[in-house]
Amino acid sequence: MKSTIIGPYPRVGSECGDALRKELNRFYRGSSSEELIQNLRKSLTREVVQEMISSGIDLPNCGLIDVHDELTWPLEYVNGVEFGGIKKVFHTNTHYREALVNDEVSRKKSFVGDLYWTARELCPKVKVEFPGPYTLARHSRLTEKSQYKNLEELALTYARLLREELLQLRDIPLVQFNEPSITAFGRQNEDVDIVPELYETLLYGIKIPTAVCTFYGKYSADRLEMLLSLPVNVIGIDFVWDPDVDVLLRKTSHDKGICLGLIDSGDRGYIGLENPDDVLKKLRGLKGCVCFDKSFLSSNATLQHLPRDYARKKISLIAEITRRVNR
Amino acid sequence: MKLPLLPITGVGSFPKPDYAKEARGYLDDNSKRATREFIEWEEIRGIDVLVDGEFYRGDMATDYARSLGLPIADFTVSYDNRFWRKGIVDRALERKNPIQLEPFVYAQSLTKNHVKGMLTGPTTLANWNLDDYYKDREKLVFAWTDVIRQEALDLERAGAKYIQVDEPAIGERPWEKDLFREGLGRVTDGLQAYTITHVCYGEFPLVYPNLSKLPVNQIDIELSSELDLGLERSDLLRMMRKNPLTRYKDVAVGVIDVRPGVAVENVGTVVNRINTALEVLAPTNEMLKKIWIKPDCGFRTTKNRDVAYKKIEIMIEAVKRVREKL
Repeated sequence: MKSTIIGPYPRVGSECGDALRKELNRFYRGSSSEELIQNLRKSLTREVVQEMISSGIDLPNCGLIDVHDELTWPLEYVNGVEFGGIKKVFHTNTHYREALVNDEVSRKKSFVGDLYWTARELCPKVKVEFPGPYTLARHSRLTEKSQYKNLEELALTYARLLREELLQLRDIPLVQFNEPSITAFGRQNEDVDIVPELYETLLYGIKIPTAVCTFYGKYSADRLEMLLSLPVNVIGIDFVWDPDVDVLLRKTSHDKGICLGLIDSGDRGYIGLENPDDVLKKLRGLKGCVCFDKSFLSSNATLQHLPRDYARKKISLIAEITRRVNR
Repeated sequence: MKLPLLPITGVGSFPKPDYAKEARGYLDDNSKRATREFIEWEEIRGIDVLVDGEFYRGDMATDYARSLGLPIADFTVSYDNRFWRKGIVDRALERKNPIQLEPFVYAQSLTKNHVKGMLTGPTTLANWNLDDYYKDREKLVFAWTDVIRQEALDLERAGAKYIQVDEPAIGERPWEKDLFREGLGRVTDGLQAYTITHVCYGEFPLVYPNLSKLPVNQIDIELSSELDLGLERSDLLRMMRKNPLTRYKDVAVGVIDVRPGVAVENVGTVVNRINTALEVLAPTNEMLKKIWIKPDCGFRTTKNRDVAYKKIEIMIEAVKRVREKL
């Protein structure tokens, strides 16, 4: 088993992070430069990736310290979309921007930017993460000017955009699509049946290892079956929100790796650290329904809702438990 | 106090002047001065029920944690480059001293008009601080409830006729609607004051059916973006028209967008928003009498004081124009 994390890492809580925060404030007031901001972002990316590596995380991401929010950020790099007001979508009191689709959507530039390659200078194996096409569409609004008839059409368009991105990527250990909207509690996801078609469209013929991670909700047998049927290598499951999902998992037959979201990311406001022995006991119970060689131990979701010092303890815990599993 | 049709009020905060940036949950001389100037400004403009501007506040959730002596964590993200420090509940919550009493008494002493007594609600405090003690939502929310109940009783004893319990977190956990209602109910139980709960920036279609059951006199709701979308494109407005909240509660309608970077609206835009709100929420004269007008939220995040002042003036002018036609 390997250790990993999900989503943006806390940005502040170090000298470098605080410097970036202050400089961005100056930038927004018109008294700083893009070059200075990007240099600080690169420094912070190096710092957080180094923090993940030193803690023992096997497959870090690049920290995603530049994303405005984790749900819609790739749409900054496409034509046809502008951002409307902020909304609270989940339970986290994080505000997300609503993407307003005004025109035909097309890719302006690569979603994978300098910061990913900065992270790669430190570590040869850094995964790429995007919001998945379903989640991107769920947090978009079709305006009167839009040519798309419905969410399904838009989601398919987003799947094609992400496919274009993947076709240009080389030598990536894993591309992960985060899809909280497939499972998030209480959300309108009656059209979730389109998800398999989205991923068939996105991944047809693609050779890069891929993952779909879900979180912030519980799983029905049907939903879990659907996820495990997707043409990806790894499915991320949120065991913090649904501690009994292993009952359903045992009833399935699959050959996927599972990204085991067993460590509480703090998204619900609880900041205590798990007892490693409890997590190991849970992992032992998953033998037979999870192939550990292909799987990951992770936080259930992004750690950005935690203060940085707590996030640091969490990633150390993930790494420690993974080491004990592999021992 | 007799109020006109479409009474005008505020939600709470106003951008701090440079001289009053320091206060973090206490009323110092500078925040007193800012309060005095703001109350006077509101009176001159003819606001019907005043707010104190909250110049003494650092943050509506963290200040309570600080007052209770809880440790304060390092920053966590709100969005983009906006961060805040949350309190950490690491022990049983116990109020040592009143928190909001002194600011209310001071503000009310400055005017003969009514000033709202302002509280943050128990669910919002539970959601917006971190927990390392209760590890159980019900226990955590009710622990905060006990604190806020004492606060509400203090405000009422001090003469508050309007008590507002801010619960912007209402939309965050729709599955906890019963816990939310119970917590708010324990705070407002038996109060003689007119009670208000302010809610904003959530997915309201998920919680709308629950709003009518909340144990308060008035629901104060952020609505300007939805009003701009209009009935055809807003699920929430369609829900409201089908079952107007004014059947059950007074409703304070947000008609001014307070988010940073949003330009000052022109009067016509705000008049249109008010008229759309009336179309949706006031199909009868009785329901019309239940509507108040106010900005979407407090102006704290607007930052620019001139913009905030101008936005309130535009709102007042728009209400005057609508009143003339009613």
